[in-house]
Amino acid sequence: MIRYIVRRLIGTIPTLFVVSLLIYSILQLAPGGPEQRFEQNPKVTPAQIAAFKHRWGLDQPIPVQYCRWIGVCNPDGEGLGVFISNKGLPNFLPGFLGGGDNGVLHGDLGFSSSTGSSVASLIGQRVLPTAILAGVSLLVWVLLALLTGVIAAVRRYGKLDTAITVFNYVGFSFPTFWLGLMLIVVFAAQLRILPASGMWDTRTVPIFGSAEYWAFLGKKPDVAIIDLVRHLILPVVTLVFVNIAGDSRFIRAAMIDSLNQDFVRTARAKGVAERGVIFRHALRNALLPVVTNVALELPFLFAGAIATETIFSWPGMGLAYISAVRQFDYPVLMGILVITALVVVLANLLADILYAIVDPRISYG
Amino acid sequence: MTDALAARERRAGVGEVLLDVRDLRTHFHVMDGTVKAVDGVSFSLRRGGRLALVGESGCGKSVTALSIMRLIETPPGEFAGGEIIFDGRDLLKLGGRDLREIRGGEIAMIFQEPMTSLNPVMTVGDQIAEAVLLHQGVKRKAADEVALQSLVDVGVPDPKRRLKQYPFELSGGMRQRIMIAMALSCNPKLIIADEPTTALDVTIQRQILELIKTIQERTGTALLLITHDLGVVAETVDDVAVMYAGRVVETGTVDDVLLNPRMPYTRGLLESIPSQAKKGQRLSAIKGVVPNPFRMPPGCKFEPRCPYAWEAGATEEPPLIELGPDRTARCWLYDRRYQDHLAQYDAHITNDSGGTTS
Amino acid sequence: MDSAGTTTLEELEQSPDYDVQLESLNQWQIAWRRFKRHRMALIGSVLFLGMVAVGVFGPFFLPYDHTVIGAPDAKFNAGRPPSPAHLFGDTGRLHRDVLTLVVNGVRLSLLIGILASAMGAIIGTIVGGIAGYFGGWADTILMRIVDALLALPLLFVILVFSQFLGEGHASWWTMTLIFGAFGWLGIARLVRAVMLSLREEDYVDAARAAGVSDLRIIFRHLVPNSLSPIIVATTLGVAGVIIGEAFVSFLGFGVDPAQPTLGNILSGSLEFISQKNWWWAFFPGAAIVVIVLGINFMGDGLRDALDPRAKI
Repeated sequence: MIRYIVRRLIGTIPTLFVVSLLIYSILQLAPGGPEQRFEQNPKVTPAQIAAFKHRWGLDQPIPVQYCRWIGVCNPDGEGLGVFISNKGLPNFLPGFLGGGDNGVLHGDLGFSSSTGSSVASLIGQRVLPTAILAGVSLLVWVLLALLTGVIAAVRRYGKLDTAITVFNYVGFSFPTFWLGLMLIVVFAAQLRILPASGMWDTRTVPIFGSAEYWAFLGKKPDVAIIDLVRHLILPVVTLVFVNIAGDSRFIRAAMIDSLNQDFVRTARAKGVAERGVIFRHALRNALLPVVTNVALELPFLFAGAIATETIFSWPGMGLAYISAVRQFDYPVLMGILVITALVVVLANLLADILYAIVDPRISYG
Repeated sequence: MTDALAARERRAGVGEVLLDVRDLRTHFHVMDGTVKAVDGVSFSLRRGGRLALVGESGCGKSVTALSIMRLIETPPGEFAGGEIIFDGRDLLKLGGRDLREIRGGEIAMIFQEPMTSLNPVMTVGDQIAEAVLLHQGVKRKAADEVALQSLVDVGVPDPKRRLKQYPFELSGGMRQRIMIAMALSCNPKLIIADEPTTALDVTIQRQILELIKTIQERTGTALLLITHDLGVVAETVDDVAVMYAGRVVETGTVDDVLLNPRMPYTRGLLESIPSQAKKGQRLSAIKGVVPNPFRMPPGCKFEPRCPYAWEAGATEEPPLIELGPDRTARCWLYDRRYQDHLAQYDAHITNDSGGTTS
Repeated sequence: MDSAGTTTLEELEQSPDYDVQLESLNQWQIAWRRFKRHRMALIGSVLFLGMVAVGVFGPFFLPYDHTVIGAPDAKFNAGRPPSPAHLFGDTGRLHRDVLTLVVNGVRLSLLIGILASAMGAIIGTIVGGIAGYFGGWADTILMRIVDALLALPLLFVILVFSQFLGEGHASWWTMTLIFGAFGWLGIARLVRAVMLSLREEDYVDAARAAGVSDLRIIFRHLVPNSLSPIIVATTLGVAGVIIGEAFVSFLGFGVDPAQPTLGNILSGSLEFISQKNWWWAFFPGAAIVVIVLGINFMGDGLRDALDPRAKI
């Protein structure tokens, strides 16, 4: 199994390369770039823009820019020496082996062209809020989907099944951002019982992720947690309501298939009570495809989170993504996209691993 | 149960009726109408007895077997009539709890498809132990031991290792042995085997049949064997009940029915079996087709295909007529009013004999 | 009985229980029968077709033109709530009638959705059909391309493309092309999968043995048999495009606000939410929900009705 994992991980590297190259090219082919921010500003002279472009290496040909970004080319090099690091060895080698220290291969994702801070640290700041939002939502909707899916399958074609099915479809038909908006209107603007946006109450709680925040969490955990929960409710409800449908239907279908299998009849013939039949036999078998399905949904979770984070001003990766797009902040964009591609790849791998764990019939050499 | 105990039980109870199915009717309500899959099935089985329920595909024998354990989904199924008296109680009227105790505990079933009848994600040992835990009220460790013993009883080599394996790691014949082990593990009074060998290789079929026979003889359990294979019937059971279009049409001992079939359908079935004696002759088949369940003939269901039919059969369905102790036939030929037709039938047979049953 | 004592065919046909099916339905008639029985599918169709009717005929019945700007109103700068004069209220600042906007938005969004999905279906079927049928190099190359394109985050590409095509605002036709250009990927994979299984069927061998050319086999034999999943996917695709367009417009990168789509109406309404103008955002969103819900119900019904495995 370990060998399989390693093999898969190695196999993803070329894919990541190709995807990043594609994305990079598309970005560059489109008109505009980080310097676009200054287009509207009459005070900025062409010379300043040129200097800006030079400083950020934007005046180089695209292949060179990509090469530097990846870390195979040395930004200080010239001509063919571009592939050699300042220490005289091929640039793509890790730093401690004499290679360069720039580019993705060395963990350097560049600097944001709008804020100047390192992309890696920006992403680092944003990962946790997104993870919390996505993680909690995923947990809640998977549990609810299991519940509704099993009930709908067991009471197939009954009133409960129809009700659950309709509910699922309705939820699925709501655009995430619109639902979020309407929830804000009702609960925050009209009823005023929940906060309209943000992840923490700026008046009473320090900035999330900062040192002061962790200190605050230690000293007054109940206040911090309640505050977090209050801010989580609306975004989580939004994400859950829209996303539960897919899994619920899937679980229902998987359960129906499972319940129709012969071994379920054997279990009943053995005298197993209906509850045991449903959970110990049918659900256990239905879980196989469900587990992989959920693992494969992880990447979509990030996409769905973009809308939610935008509406609720949740300081996560989604929001960072949108701001980067608006400001043509290419380094941040590339950074987030590469991380996303990595998540997709890892999610696929996770799905396969889980499948092997859950189903004894499957083993990887 | 030890062998001595089993033998004593058998001696004590032999002759006593264990299962008495009376005019069972199981109907299915589907979109295009109602399918009366079982519509008048009656037979009885003694303690320790062996009965085969035979018939073509679609005659309702599997549904009968499933009905005994009430493994029919209602809806769309419905138990429209009749009684199933098992050990003095009507199974059709039992509550859920009682029914579950009987399932697996007193009546055990072996299914046709061993590939799909076992849970693919549970070890074989767990599946057998599950039955034991449900019915014997013992702890996990004891249940595992019973499971191990049951594997030994069915002749599975290297049972300790097999216990921990998953169904996909076993061959078809092995899986069927597991099913039999599972059925036996709680010492049931009756084993229902629904076409237990149909899905297996021919060589394995023999082994499994032998196994069933041996076990049945050793433990004194009653056996209800569902099959379409007349050859299997001859070797394994004492009594037989023939089914057609959802009804029992003839019952009797194996020798009686196979050597001297009284109902024209049974006769037709037997005559259609190829044999050495008929070498060179054209294969005979019963003319016509099995009736459409939505458009059954109004009288005797076999009448359209019966070579001896006359108006009585076309208009009214014959009841199951007693020809002797434990010998019945659902045919107007045996109604006292139609003795001349019976005489014709008997004459016809004597002319034909020499080329009939194998 | 003939001389050998067996039944002739005539006798068989004449016997009372010989069942001849005089009425033989083709696959589409069977599907229609099943679809009609599906309550949810019927409701969905009513919803969807109703919205289509609104989009097609609605603008002719409206008293206002969506470009009409209402008189400034100091008291209700954020927009007037629903009233008999303005059933859905009017917008903030420019005081345009929301009902008019929504009806025009429905028309445009549906147009984009249906056209893009149809485009995707056609391209996808061709690509998937060729890849699935020929296999080998064609399959590998085409599918690698599909996989690579699928790996691209759609949102990103659309955002970038919209930049590309002029100042961050595209015309509705451009948006259609963009969505169509990416919609075909999923359908191609689907069609390829169906092709792979279908081409092993005997009738393909029979056709080949009869000398039918490959292309003809694909389009006259295999594609009609794979139509069911294509139809379902295309129908559901319309919903996907509508929501996608709404999202992109909502972010500000979509269709030019001069051409109202349900998405860009929503994006305009954002800033006035805090000023208690809920109707501007509510009605376009509700319209999206109704359309998408209708499509989803219909699609579910279609899927069940066209399922070749289900018995009548």
